[in-house]
Amino acid sequence: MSFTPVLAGLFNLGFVLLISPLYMTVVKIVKARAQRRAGPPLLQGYYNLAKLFRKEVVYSDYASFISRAAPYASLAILMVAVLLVPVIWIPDAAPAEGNIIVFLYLLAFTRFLLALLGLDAGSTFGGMGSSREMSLSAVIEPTTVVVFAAMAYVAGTLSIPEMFRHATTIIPGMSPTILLLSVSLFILIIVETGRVPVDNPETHLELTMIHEGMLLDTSGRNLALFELSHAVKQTLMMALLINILIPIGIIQEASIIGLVLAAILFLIKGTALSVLIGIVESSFAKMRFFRVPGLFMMAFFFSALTILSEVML
Amino acid sequence: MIDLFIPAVFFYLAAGVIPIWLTGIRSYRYCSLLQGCAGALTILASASALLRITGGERISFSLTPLFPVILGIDRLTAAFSLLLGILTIAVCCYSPGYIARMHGGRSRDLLCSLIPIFLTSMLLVLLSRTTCAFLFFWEIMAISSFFLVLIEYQDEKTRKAAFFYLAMTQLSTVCIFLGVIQLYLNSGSFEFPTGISITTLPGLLAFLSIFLGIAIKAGAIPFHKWLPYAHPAAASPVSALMSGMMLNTALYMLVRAVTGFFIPNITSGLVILFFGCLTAVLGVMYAVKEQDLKGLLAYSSIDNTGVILTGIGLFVVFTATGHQAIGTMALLGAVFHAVSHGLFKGLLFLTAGSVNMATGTRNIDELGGLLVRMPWTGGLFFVGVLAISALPPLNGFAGELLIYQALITGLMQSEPLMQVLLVIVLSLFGLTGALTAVCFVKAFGLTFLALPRTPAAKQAHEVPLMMRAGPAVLSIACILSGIFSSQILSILGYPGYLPDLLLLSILLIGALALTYAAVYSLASRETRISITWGCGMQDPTSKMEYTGSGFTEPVVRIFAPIFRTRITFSKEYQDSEHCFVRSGTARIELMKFFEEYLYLPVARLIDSYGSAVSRLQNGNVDTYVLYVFGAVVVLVVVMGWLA
Repeated sequence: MSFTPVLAGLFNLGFVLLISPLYMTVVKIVKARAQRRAGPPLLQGYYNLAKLFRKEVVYSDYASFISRAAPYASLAILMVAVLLVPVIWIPDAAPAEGNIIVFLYLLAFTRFLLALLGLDAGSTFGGMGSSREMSLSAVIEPTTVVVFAAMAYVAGTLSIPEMFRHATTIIPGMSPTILLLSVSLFILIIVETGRVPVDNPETHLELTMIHEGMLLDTSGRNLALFELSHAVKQTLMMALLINILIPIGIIQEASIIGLVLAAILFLIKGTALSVLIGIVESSFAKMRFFRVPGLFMMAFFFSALTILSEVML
Repeated sequence: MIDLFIPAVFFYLAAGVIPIWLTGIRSYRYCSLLQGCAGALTILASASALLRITGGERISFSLTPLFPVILGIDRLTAAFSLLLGILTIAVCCYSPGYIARMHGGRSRDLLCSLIPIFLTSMLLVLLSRTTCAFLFFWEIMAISSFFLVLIEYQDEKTRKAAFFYLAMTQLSTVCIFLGVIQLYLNSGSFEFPTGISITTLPGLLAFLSIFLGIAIKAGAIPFHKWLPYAHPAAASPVSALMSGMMLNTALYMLVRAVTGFFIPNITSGLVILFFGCLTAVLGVMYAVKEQDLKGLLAYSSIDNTGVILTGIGLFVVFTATGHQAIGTMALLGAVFHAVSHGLFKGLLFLTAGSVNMATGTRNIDELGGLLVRMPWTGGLFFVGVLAISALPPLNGFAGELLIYQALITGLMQSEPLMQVLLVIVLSLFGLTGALTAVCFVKAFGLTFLALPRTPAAKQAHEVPLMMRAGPAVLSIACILSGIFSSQILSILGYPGYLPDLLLLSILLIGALALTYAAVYSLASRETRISITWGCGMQDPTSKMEYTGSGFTEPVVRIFAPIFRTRITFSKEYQDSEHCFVRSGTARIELMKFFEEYLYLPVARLIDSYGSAVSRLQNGNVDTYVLYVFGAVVVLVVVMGWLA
C-alpha cells in the first residue's frame, strides 16, 4: 500500500465526517421552508453535535456493555464503510476491494447494534423501535441486495470504486438503466436514513418512531456519536447515487487542486440532492407502518427492471 | 498422516468404554481427557491433510473377510474432520460440568459414553470410501444419536421427540440404502463411484434417493420436522454436536456426491437449489417466531442447511452450464459456511445450555437481564450471534459473501432465463440474511439484555470455568476463521476469492480506537447512572419490556401469508338461544403447515392401513391355520400354473 491511497482515504473520511451534518440541516431547512417556517441556521447540525458532546451521559441502571460500546462501534463501522465508498477521489485499491456486499453488511452491522441498544435499557419505546427497525430491514434487505446487484450488473463489477469508474465512462442521462437504478437508489436513501414516508425523524410520538425510539435512552456524547453516524450513513447513500448518476467532477488522479475542486463539486451536488430529499419529504405523509413494504416493492421492481432492460438492450 | 486417525478412533472408543467401569464425576473427567486427545489427533491429521494441495491418502483393511473398509482423506474430508476435532475439544471441555449437574446416575453415564461413540461414527462416516462402510457408520451414527436424544427418557415429550427422530432417521437410511444399491448396479463396485450420469434412469434414481436421504438427515424442509423436536429435547452438548456436526456429515455427503459420483447436470442443480431456497427462507421464518431458545437455534440450523444447499445447488448449476470458476466459488462458499455453521451453532447451543442450566428455562419470555449475571456466557453467546448474523469480519460473513459473489457474478455471465432465476435466489438469500438478524437480535436482546422477567432469571449465576472454556474455544475459532478467511483460502490454493477481511478488521479496530481517543480527549467525560426513563413512571418493571412475541409481531404481520394463524373459539352460553355468553376462550395459534398437510395425512393413512391389517390378527389359532391352508393352496396353484 503506497502512501497516497492512505492520505486520500483519510481525506475522504475527513470530508465525509465534516460535511455530513450539513446535509441533515439542509433537509431540515427545506422542510421548514415548505411549511412556511424559517428553519434552523445552516450550521445547526454542528452546534447540536458540539452541545451534545459537552453534555454528560446518562446510562440506565440495567444498561450493559452494549449501551457503552455501541455508539463508538457504530461510528467506527461507518468510518470503515466510508473508506469503501470513494466520494471525491477514486483510488486504485480500496480496502476489502470496496466490495458492495461488504458495504451492505457493514450497514447491517450498525443496524444490528442499534437494535440491541434499543432493547438494552428495557424501556418499551426502545423495544418497539428495534422491533420495527429489524422488521423493516427484513423487507428492505432483498430489495437492497437486488439494487446493489443491479449496480454490479450494469458496471460489470462488485467493487464500488470500479462501479464509479465505469459510470464516468458513460453518459448517464442517455442510459435508461442508470436512470432506473437511480429511482431505486433514491428510495433506498429514504428508507436507510429513516425519512418521511417510512419514518419521521422529527417526532417523538410512539406511532411514528422507529429510529428515534431506539435512541430514546441515549444521551450526551453517545447520542452525538449516533447522530453523526446517522448523518454519515446518509452521506454515503447519497454518494452512491450521486457518483453513479452524475459522476462529473470525481477525480481519478490525486492532486491537491483536483481534490479541492471535486470536494466543492460534491458539496454542491449533495446539497442539491438534500434539497430534493427535503422536497420529497415535505410532499408526502408518513406511511402507515404496514404499508411501507409496498414502497420497497417499487424499488425492487425498478431494480429488477434494470437488470432485465440491461439484458434486452 | 491418515494413520493418526486410527489412534484417534481408539481414544474415542476408550472414552466411550470408561463409564462402564467407573462412575461418577471422575469418570467424566477421564472420559473427556481421552476425548480431548482424540480431538487433538483429529485436528492434527485433518490440518495436515488440508494443507496438502493435491491428492488424498487412503488405507484399506477388512474388519471381516466380507466387509472391506477403505478409509481415505482428502481436503474435502479434512475440512469437515477438522470441524469435528474442534467441536470435540469444545464439548470435552464443556460436558463434564454439564453432565455433573444432570439428574439420574445411569443416564449420565450413558450420555458420557455415547457421545464418544457418536463422534467416532461421524468421523468414520467422513472417512469412508466404500458405500457399504459408509452405510454401516451412518447407521451407527443414527442409532447412537437416537439414544442420545432419548437420554432423559422419563419425559414424555423427549420420548415422543426421540421416536419421531428414529422414524425419520431410519427413513433417511432406507433412502440412502436404496441409493447405494442403485450406485452398485451402476458401477458394480462398493467403492465410491465416479462419473454417473443422471440422465439415465438408474443414475437419476440413485441421485434422487441419495438426495432424499441426505435432505432428511440435514433437515431440509419439508423433511425438517424431527429437528425442532429432537434438538431441544437432547442435552446441550448433544444438540451442539447434532446441529454442528451431524447435519454437516449429511451435507458433506451431498458435496461428495455432486463433485464425485454424479456428472453435474442442470436438473439436479435446480432440484438442490429449490430445496435450498425453500429451506433457508422457511427455516428462518419459523426461527423468528420461536420462543424456545433451543428451538430457535434448531430452526436456525434448518435455515443454515438451506443456505449451504443453495451454495451446493449453485455449484451444480454453474458447473453444468460451463461456468466452472463461479461454480467453484459457490462450492467454496457452501463448504466454508458449513464449517462455520458447525462452529457458531456449536457455540450457541453450548451457551444456550449454560443459560438453561442457570435458569431452568428455555423460554425467551422468561429470561432477560442475564448479561449482568452471566457476563462470560453472555459475551460468548454474543460472538456466536454476530457470527450467525453474518456480520463482518466473522466467519458467518465470509461464507455468505462467497455465495453472494457467486450469485452476482453468475448473474453477469449467464443467459436471460437463468438471470431471472438468479435474481429470485438473490432476493430470497437477502431476505434470509435479514431475517436471521431479526431472529438473533431477538434471541440475544431478550435473553441477555434489560431486566430479568422471572425470579429464576434473576437468580441466575455464571457457570463454572470449564463450561465457559468450551464455548470460548469455538468463539475464538469463529473470530479467527472469519478474520483470516481470505488468507486461509489462499493457503488452500484459492487466492482472490474473498476480499481481505484482515485489513477490514484492522481498519475497524483502528477506527474504533480513533473514535474512542477523539471522544475521550474532546468530549465531556461525565457519566451518570440513572433509572430508565418511563414517561414519568417511577419504577419501571420487567413487564414494560418488549416480549419475544411482541418483538416479532411486525414480521409475522408482514409475512402473514406464510405464518398462517388459526383462531379457535369455544363459548358457553347462559341461555338456550345462544345469546348471552357465560364464558368463552379464544386461542390464536400458528398453523404447522407441514405437519398438518404432509405428516399427519401420511401418518393417518398408515394408521388406518395398520388397523385394517390388524383385523387379520384376531388371536384365534383356527384362523391362522386357515391362513396357512390358503397360502399353501395359492402356492400350489401358482407353482402349477408356472410349471
